[in-house]
Amino acid sequence: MEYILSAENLSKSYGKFCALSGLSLHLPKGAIYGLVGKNGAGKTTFIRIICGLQAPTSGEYTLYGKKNSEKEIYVSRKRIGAVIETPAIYADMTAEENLREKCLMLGVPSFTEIPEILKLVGLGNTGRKKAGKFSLGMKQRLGIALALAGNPDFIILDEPINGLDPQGIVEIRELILKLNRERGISFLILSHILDELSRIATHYGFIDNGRLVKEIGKNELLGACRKCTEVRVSDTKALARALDALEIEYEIISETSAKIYGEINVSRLVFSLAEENCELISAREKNETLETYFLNLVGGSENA
Amino acid sequence: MLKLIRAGIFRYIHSTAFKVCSALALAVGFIFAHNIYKNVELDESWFFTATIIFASLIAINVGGEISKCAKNKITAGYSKTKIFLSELIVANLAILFFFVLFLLFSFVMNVRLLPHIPLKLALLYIFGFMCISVSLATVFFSITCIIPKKAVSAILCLVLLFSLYYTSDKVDYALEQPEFMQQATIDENGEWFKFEVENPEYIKEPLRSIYTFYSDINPFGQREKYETIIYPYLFDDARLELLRKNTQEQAANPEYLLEKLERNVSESEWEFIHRAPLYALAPVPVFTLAGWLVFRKKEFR
Repeated sequence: MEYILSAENLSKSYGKFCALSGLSLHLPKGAIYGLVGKNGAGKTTFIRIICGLQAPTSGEYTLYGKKNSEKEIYVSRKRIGAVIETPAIYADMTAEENLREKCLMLGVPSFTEIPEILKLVGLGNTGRKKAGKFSLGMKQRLGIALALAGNPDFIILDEPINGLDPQGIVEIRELILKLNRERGISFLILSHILDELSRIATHYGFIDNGRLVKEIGKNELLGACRKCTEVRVSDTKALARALDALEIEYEIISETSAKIYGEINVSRLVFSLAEENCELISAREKNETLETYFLNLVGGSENA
Repeated sequence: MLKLIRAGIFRYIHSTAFKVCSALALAVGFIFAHNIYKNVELDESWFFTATIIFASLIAINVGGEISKCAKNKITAGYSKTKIFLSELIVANLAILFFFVLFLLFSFVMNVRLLPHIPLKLALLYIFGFMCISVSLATVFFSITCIIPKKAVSAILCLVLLFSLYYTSDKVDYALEQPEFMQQATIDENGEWFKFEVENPEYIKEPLRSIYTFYSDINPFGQREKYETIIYPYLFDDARLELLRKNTQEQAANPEYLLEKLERNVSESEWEFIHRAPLYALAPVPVFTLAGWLVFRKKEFR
C-alpha cells in the first residue's frame, strides 16, 4: 500500500508535559483518514508537526516519501492544504482577496479557479463583505477554500464542521466526498463528532495520551461495530459445527467465546448445541457504534 | 521568495492599517511641505510623527502576520528564513512607499526651491533619510518578531522611539556645550575684567567620542544634522535675506547664527552626509540577525 504520510515514534514535549509519546501512523493514498481522540490527546500537536509549525522532540515522519529531516520536505508540503484549529484568514480582506493572496503565495499563475472554489464551499455570493464580518461557519468555509487553493492532493482539516449549521455540515461532508472521489484528494480529518466522521472516513486512527492505540480500516471497523451476539460456550468447535449447520455467520474469538452475526433463534441454537454436547454459558447482544468502539478502546468508564 | 513578496505586497495594499498609514504619511508630508512653502521654520515633530506611523504599521501588520497567518506560509512549504526575509523586505518596501508619499507634496509645493539646492546634496539627503527609514523599519520589524504579543511589541517600539528622541536631545545638548565659558568681574580699579573658565557641562574625551558616535547613529541625531545642513536651502531668497537681517540686528551671537544661514556645505558636513547612511544602516544587520534567530526557533500554534 502506498502511504502519503507515515509517522514513526513521533514525540513532542513542552517542558515536562509530553503531548505526543511515540505516535506511529500510516495514511494511505486516496484515504479519508479520521483521527479520533479526546481533548488533549495530541491530535492537533500531531498535525502541527506534520505541517512544519512545530518540530518533533524525537521520531520522524515521511510526507510523500520525504523524511522531515530532508530539505525536500518543503516541496512535499507544497502539496498540502491545511486548516489547523481556527482558520488563518485576513479579516480586512474579502473572501476573494484572501484566496488571491494565497494563490500569489503559492505562485498559481491565474485567479480563474477562485470563483469555482468559492462556489464549491458555498461562499460564491459574499461579494465585498470583509472576512472579519463572516460568521464562524463562513470563516470555516473560507479556511477550507484556502486549503483548496493551488490544487493540493492532501488536505488536513482540524474539526472542519465546527460552527456549521446542519445544512453546512451536509455540504462540507459532500464536498469532502466529492473532492476525494473526483480529484483523488486524500484527507486527514480531526473530529470530535464521531457520527459525522463515520459517514465519510475510510480509515481511522484512535489516539490517546499522545499515542496511536489503534489504526483500522473502514471495513474492519464495520465488522467490529456490527450488531452481533457475543456468546460464551463450553466448546467453540462444537459451536462452529452447530452454526455451520444453521447457516449462521460467526467469528470465533477464543476457545470459549464467539460472535454470532444477524438474528438468531435462541431455542434452535440451544437445541443444536445440546446435540453437539456443548453448553451455552452466556449470551450478550452487542451493538457498537464508532463512539462506543472509541470509548472501549481508550477506557470507556473514564469517558462515558 | 518572490512569490511571498508579491503576496505580502498584495496583503499590505489591502490592509486597513496600510491605508490609514498612507493617509497619515500624506497628511504629515503635506504639513511639512506647507511649512516650507510658508517659510515656517521646521521642528522635529514631522519626523517624530512619521516614525510613529512606521512603528504602528509594522506592529499591526507584521504582528498579525506572525501571530496568526504565518502558519499558512509554513504549511505551504516555505522555510521560516524565507518567510522572515520576505516579510522584512515587504515591511521596508511599505516604509519606502510612505517616504515617497511624504515627499510628494514637498516636491509639488516647493519646486521653486529646487534650483537653489545642489543636486548631489538633494540626492544624498533623500538617500540618507531612506536609510534611516529602512533602519527604523528593520528595528521595529525585529522587535515585532521577537516579542510574541502584538500590543506589547507596539508599545515597546513606541518606548524605543521616545527613548531615542529623548536621549538624542540630551546628547546633542551636551555636545553643543563650549569647552570654556566667558566670565567677567570688576577689579579693584573698577574695570571690567574678562576671563575664561572651564565649562563643567563640557563632555571630555573619551566620553565625547562615545556621545558623538551615539548622536551619529541615533536617527533623531542624524535628522538634526541633516536639517542643519539643508536649513538655508529650504527658504526662498527674500525670506533668507530677511532672516539674515533679523539675525544681524537681534542675535547676541550673530556670527555663529549667520554661518548657519549660509548656503554652503562645509567639508565636515559633506563628510557627515557621505558617512551617515552607513551609520543609519548599522543597526540593520544586528537587529535582522536577532529577529531571524528568534523567528526560526519560534513554534507556531
